[in-house]
Amino acid sequence: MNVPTEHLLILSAILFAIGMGGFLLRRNMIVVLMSIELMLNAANLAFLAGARQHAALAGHWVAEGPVMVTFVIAVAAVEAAVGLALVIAFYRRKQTVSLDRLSPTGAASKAN
Amino acid sequence: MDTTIAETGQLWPWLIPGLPLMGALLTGAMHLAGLRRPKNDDKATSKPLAANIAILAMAAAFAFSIKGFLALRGGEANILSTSYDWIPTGDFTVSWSLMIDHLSSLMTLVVTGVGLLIHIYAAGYMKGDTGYAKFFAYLNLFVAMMLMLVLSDNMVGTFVGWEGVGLCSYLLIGFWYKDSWRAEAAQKAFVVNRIGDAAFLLGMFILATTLGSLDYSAINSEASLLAKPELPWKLSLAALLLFGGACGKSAQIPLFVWLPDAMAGPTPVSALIHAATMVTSGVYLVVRLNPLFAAAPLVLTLIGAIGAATAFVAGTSALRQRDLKGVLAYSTVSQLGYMFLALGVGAFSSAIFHLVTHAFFKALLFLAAGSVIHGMNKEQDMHKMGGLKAHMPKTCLTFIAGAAALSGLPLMSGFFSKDEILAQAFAGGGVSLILWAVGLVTAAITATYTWRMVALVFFGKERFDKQAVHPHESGALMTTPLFVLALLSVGGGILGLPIVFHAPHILGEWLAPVVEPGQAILAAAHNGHLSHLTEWILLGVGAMIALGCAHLAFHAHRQGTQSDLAFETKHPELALSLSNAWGIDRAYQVMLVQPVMTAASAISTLFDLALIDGAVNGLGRFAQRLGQRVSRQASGHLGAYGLTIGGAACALAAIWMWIGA
Amino acid sequence: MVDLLFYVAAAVSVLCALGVVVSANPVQSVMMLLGSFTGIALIYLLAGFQFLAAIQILVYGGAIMVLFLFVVMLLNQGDPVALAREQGVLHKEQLAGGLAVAGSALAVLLVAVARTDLPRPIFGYLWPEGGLDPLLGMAQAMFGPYVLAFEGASVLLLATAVGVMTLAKRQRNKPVAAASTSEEASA
Repeated sequence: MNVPTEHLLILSAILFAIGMGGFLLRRNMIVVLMSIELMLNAANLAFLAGARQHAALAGHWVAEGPVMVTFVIAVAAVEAAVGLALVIAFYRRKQTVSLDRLSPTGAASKAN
Repeated sequence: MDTTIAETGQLWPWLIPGLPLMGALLTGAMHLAGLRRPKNDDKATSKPLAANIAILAMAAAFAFSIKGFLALRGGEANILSTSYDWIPTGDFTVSWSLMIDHLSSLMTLVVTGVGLLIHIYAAGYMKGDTGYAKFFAYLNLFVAMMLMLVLSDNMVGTFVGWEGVGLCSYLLIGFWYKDSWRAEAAQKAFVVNRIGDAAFLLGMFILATTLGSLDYSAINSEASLLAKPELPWKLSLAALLLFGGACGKSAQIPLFVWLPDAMAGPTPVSALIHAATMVTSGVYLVVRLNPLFAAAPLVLTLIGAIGAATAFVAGTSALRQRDLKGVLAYSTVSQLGYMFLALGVGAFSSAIFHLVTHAFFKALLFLAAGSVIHGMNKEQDMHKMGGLKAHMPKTCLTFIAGAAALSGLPLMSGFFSKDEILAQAFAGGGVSLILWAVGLVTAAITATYTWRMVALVFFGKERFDKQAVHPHESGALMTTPLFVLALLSVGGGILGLPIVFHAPHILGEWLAPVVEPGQAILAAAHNGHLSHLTEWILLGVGAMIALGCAHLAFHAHRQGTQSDLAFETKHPELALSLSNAWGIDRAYQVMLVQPVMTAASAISTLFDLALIDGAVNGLGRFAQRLGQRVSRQASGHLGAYGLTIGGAACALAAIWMWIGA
Repeated sequence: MVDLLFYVAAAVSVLCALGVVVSANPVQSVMMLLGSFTGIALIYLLAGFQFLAAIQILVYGGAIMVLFLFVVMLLNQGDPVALAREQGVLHKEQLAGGLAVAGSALAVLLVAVARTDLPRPIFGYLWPEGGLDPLLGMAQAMFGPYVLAFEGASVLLLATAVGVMTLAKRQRNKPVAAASTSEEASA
């Protein structure tokens, strides 16, 4: 594959922006968590693009990028697990997964 | 001075100021421990302990002073004890070091000896006071500081002691601070002293920059060398400024106004600090730096003039005081004026002689007055006393001994020291003759107010309310020091008998190594000794004046207050102005204090309230309003937070790119 | 040919990502997210990261996606009633603000990419035998210089396991015993 690194980075930027948009616009906590996963993936893509570019210039592979991505995946798994556990706990309490209900009642009613 | 460099490496001289300092720490700790205890707890157990610790510390310091004295008597060298370099900066080094030479040894003997007696007296006088341990902590601290002042071999160490005694003076004048007038008197003493201290500091800076050292030996030898053609004007200025400092500490015109007010402190404090020791530190300083002052003849003349003026003004003020301690306070100022008069005519050892005898008899008078006040239930108005001779015979006897010494009755200690000063002034000739005349008049005044005091307090009718007051003799703890001091006051003259007595002048010979450099510089100006006949005549005149005035004053006031009242009705304005020290204090009040207060209140309204408070409050209001605005953003909406975080991150990234990092 | 495959995969992942954000049904979102991750995994593979591509499929596609799906199902989020209840009450300002921030993030990132002057490798991009993430090399890096981070990650995972158990366990102070047992079983 001879795609220039810039294109990988652009793809990463687009994915990140989409994830950010989802994070900001959606009220469903589960979808918000998914958006966060999207952003993490975008970041991973940027890391790997850099590792690929670095390897091409240095003439041999470099460990930093792939290792970092591995750790990000691990952290993402952790984040998803904890986040979803919180969502379940929240749902038990409020019978909903809407972020609006997470806000203080007064503020939520004002926003509505 | 070649003899200055001497045995080093001995640390025991540090015990002289160190032991009272330790005493102060111990008693201070006891006071603090006492504060924690509940009020109804029996504190009586700790009370004698505090006094005992303080007295023990003083006795030990006195013993080491004697050790130093004996060492000096035996050998010739001065004892120099350096602990470590305090301020080592390039060529200029200040070290913590003590020097026991003939002058400082004498001063330590006086300070610790008289101090010891006063401590013993205070143990009785302060009995029952709630701040008993605190009092001894302050008193011991004062003695430590005073010893630091006289023992330090450089000006910085002296300055430490100088400020320390000022602090203790402040603390002790305001010891009964719950009376606001006493607290104000303490503040006044502190502020007036600061004026002098500022001058002292400036003088020290000049010496440090011009001579490159603040060691007394270096300053004195430099001054002796530089004096030969002509002393640089800078050094004369330094001498003048140092004299300014001495004026503050030793209560000379124009800075004497604090001392009469300082009588607000407990009487042992007045005796120790405001009569015997601290107020004489100015005299000590001038004698310590005698080559410097001798090389600045104009400053020396000024010192003499100020001394004479102070002696006269304060003496006349003492004539019209009704407060027993007030008489003694003005008398102290007046006698300090004598000492400065002596310094002014170059009679350094005479000034120290008078310092020593004055320490004896004035401490005695204060302590005896304290005994009277104690026995009279805190009454200080002499017009409400009278006839106390029958009630307190011991106090009366010792008081009369002190009065005799103060007024210079023949063969008493004050007679010799005062007449030596007058003789030296007479021998100086020229301008000194004026000083001699003022001194002679002041001697007459001194005899007058002293015996007026004696007559009003101890003789005549009993003018106090016999129902309310039952005068009684004080306990042995208080009277024993009185007798010791009375003995010293009567016999102290033996230290410096006039030449005509064909006996050695012990003190003069003792101090000769210290004052020699100054005398050498002055030798050209001084035209030798008086003939024996002149000296006899002077002695006779002094004795006649003292006896005559004492006799007149005693009999004028023996009847009671009539002669005082008669004078007041005859010359009401004069009487008022005399009793207020010629209105100098009031003039300061009007000319200096009031304008400063007015300016301060104006500044406080204009600057502090409007500008500073405005700015501070404005900032506070701004922050408050900003906080209110911003707090609305913290709505709890996750979406809003996310927007803020994302937007801020974008903005930061954009800025980062813009900068091009 | 291979390059074309990259653009196809990129288009798929972007479209799927958009689908995640816009689909109203969370089940659909999960499916879209799976598609997006698959596209990204393909890109990893194309770029030479074989191991990471496999990890992407296994961990994201396999584990995390299943977890999401599981929770969505558990909370009945595909249910029309729930859908109706969760339907957004997104304000115009919120919509505009979110779009603006996301847009500006995209703009900043694109400008950053555009301003970055990356040198073009003369001999093309490497694709060595073991890929750009050879297993042996990765293992050596993980247990060599990055061993502390690796151990940190394992501790983090352990803490997560404990934390999630605590969180997901129903509260003990719940009064109704019957409801609690059924919920416990489902959790």
